[in-house]
Amino acid sequence: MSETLNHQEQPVLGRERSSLQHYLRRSRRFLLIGLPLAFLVIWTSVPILWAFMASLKEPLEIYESNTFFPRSPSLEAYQTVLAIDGFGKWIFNSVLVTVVATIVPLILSILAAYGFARYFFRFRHILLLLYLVPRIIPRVSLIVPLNDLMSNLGLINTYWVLYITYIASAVPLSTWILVGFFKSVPKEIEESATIDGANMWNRLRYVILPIAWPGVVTAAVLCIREGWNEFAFVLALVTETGMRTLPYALYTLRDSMGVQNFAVYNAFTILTVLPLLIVYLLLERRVVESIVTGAVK
Amino acid sequence: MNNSYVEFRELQKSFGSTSVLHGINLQIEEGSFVVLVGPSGCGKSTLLRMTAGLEPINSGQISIADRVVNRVPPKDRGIAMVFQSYALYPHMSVADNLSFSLKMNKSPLDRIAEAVKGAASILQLSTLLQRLPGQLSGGQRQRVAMGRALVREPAVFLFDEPLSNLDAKLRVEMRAEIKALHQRLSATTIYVTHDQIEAMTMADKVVVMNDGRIEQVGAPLEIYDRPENLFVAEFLGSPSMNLLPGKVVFGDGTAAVELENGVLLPLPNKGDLQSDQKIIYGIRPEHIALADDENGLAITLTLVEPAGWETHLHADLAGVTLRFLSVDRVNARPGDPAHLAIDTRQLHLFDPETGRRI
Amino acid sequence: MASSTEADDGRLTARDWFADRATHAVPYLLVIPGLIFVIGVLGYAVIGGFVLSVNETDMFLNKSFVGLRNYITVFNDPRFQASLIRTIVFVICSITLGIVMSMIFALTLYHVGFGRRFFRGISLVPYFVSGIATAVMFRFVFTTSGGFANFVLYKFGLPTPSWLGNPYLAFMVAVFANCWHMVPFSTLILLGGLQTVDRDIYDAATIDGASGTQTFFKITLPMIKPMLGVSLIWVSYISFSTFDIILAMTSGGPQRATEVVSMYMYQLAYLQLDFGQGAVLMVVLLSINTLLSLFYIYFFVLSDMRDAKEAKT
Repeated sequence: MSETLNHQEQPVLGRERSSLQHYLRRSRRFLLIGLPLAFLVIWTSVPILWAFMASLKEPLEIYESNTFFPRSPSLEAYQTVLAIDGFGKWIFNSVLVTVVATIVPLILSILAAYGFARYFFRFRHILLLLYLVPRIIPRVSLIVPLNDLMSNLGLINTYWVLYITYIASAVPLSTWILVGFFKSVPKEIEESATIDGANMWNRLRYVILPIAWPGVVTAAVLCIREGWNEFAFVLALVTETGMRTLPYALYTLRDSMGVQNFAVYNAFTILTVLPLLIVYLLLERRVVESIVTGAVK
Repeated sequence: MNNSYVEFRELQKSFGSTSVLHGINLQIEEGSFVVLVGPSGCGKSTLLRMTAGLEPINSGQISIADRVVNRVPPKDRGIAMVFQSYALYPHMSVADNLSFSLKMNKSPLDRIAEAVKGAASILQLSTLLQRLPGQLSGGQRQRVAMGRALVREPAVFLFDEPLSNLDAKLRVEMRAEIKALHQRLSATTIYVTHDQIEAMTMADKVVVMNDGRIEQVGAPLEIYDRPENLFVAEFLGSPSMNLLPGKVVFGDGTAAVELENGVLLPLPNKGDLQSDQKIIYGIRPEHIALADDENGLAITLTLVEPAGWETHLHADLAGVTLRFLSVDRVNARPGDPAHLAIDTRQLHLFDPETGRRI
Repeated sequence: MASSTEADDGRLTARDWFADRATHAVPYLLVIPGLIFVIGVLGYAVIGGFVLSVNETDMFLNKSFVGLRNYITVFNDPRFQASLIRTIVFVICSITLGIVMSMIFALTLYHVGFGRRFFRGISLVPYFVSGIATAVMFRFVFTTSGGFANFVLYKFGLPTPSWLGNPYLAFMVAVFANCWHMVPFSTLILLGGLQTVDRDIYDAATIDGASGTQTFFKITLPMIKPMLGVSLIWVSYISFSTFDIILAMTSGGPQRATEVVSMYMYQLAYLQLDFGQGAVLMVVLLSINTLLSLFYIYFFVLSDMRDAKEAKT
């Protein structure tokens, strides 16, 4: 077990060291990676898990908080939530708005992204800039003028106001993602399709979209996310309870929930989070890949 | 002019302010295999793409089968193209790849099936019809690309450096296959490559291009034996021709070319040459040989590269490097002195500006 | 492209001329619809905001031009000044904590040997939780009695403070919640940057004798500079715009400890119904973001381009 290797010549993997050093190195490496990894997992999951646990506990238990896991888990809280008057309406609203705010932006941005990716036209750069610059604008800051504008148009409290604002917010991001993906489709494949007689719609349908579909999926997921989680616009532009979406409903619960209702509160939270999480987890791979490869910025 | 199947007339092309093609004129007979060859950037691919309809024409005309096709969309020109990267649809099976163009033209299904089957059997793809391009080898993908062109039954086949992505051995195989296909179908073919060996072995007619212009057109051996200018002389042939600048000198009844370093190279007959005329002496490596006797040129060997069937040698002739070949094994080593003999029947003389003499 | 029945000698016909115009128009047709939405709505809103900021609006939405009076009022307002400072501190804390955490997480995810997909997938989860839900969850983690934080602290016999009742602690919790929300995305971007570095470079560094830390600071960091830039930009934007989380968690309290500019803007515009001043705050937020972008662009993009140009000569 003596040190036979010159320090200057340690290979990266430490293959040739003595076994003790090897073991030490491996455990050091394990800690170096394992600790932050554990922290990552804990940090990410605690808030959600805690809320989930709370939703299963009895109210008093939550208050006393001397346990992590519920002593006698019950789904009572969820039943209460589902029975809340208007809950169904809120879910319906959220779903409706999200669906519209995903499909329409996707269509618009597929067209626009194709235009930017494949055509070289005079004002290309300026127009592209116009698409991307709005991403700088914090949505929150717009609630003041939007309220004014929408009031004048008489659109407050309609689905339309949400459709319009959500679509306008989603299109820049979606276009940006898709332009990257469309550009990565080799030009020659499209040229071959042109020679074969495909017009623009054919090319989109048979060539570009099938090849670039991970990009479409990513853009879709992000649109869904923005539609589902959006709060500020609903706060500012929708005043009728029946028209609210889930995030806002969750917000209003804040003051009406006393200690005895904590479980219900948490259950509500979990329920608002769950659908989007499910969508994400189904498509997780594509989304993560896209972000990591820098397509989403 | 009327028996030309494809004709280029005064074609010009610019990208923005850069002019890429300067007045191309060419006639291509029906059924011939024409190779456009030249260094990167000479415009050959651009010319091909203009023929396909993928690049707009700035001025001039392209005709296919007596019809001016300048403004005709690619699908109506009667062409089919094989790309360098094959450009197969990666998400479609081989069968779908082959049938795509027919589908776009709304051909009846049975016609499509027939055409696909036909192309597949010619190219030995019948067992691969359900595979995806990602599951195919390079050579197989090549063949699918060709099959796609076949299915269109075009008047003109266009190939854009199709063999560049293959390894050497596969390249030789595919060369033969493409040529065999051409012979079988007798289809007019325009083939672009930067590899002069492909050009020489496959072409009925070779078009040497450089910097947006056609340097010379002719049958392969014709061009090889009588290059019209320096560029063509140097471009064809590997290793390339030795080109030595010098001037003509007359001795007592004989003529010679004196190189800058004073060495005299033999000149068989003086023709119309003048004394002191500046000239470039061109001789191909295969026309220089090691001489046994002392009558040859005295040189020192500088590099000996045995390549199996022949040996490439570099020799130093008082400061000028000569390349030559030997079919016999050479036992000499760098630094050895030797003597060379030049076959003066294969001499090429060039004016240092362009043309050729003799 | 025209049909194939043009004049035989190839001269342009009128039909060709129209076809040319049509071809040129195609990209515009593709691009304009989306642009209408984007500029129409967002652009209009921005301009509307500017207009509002120089007007005084009453309950019936009648406007009267008051020039810069709103601006003067706002900038002299100590509450605004305090909120601005708080926002800046909040952003700085968020950026610092956020970037450090994302860097560590990115490195970890990069080196992890097994279960890569799982860990990456799980790390992005917070990104998909709405701001409100995040706030609620964090409230429950940090409530004085009943929260996870105190639960753990109690087990270790440590003091269990009132997180959300103490101004400083509440501020910290807000920063945490914000980071929780932002870090995943930033982590993945940095991870992407790490993956673009050629592994051979690390081998070369080892041969040259660089230690782990040296490698990181002298080689890794410079090479992922563009990604760092993107992360920084993104994290700053999000932090300046934080609204949902704070509103739902502390509403700006306790004692305005977490009242950042966006909160104050909400207060002014919706609770005090002073759209004029609210709009001024909107302008402030926008300006900060714009300045930041320009700064970042200059710093990261232009300097990269300058380096590249110098390297060429």
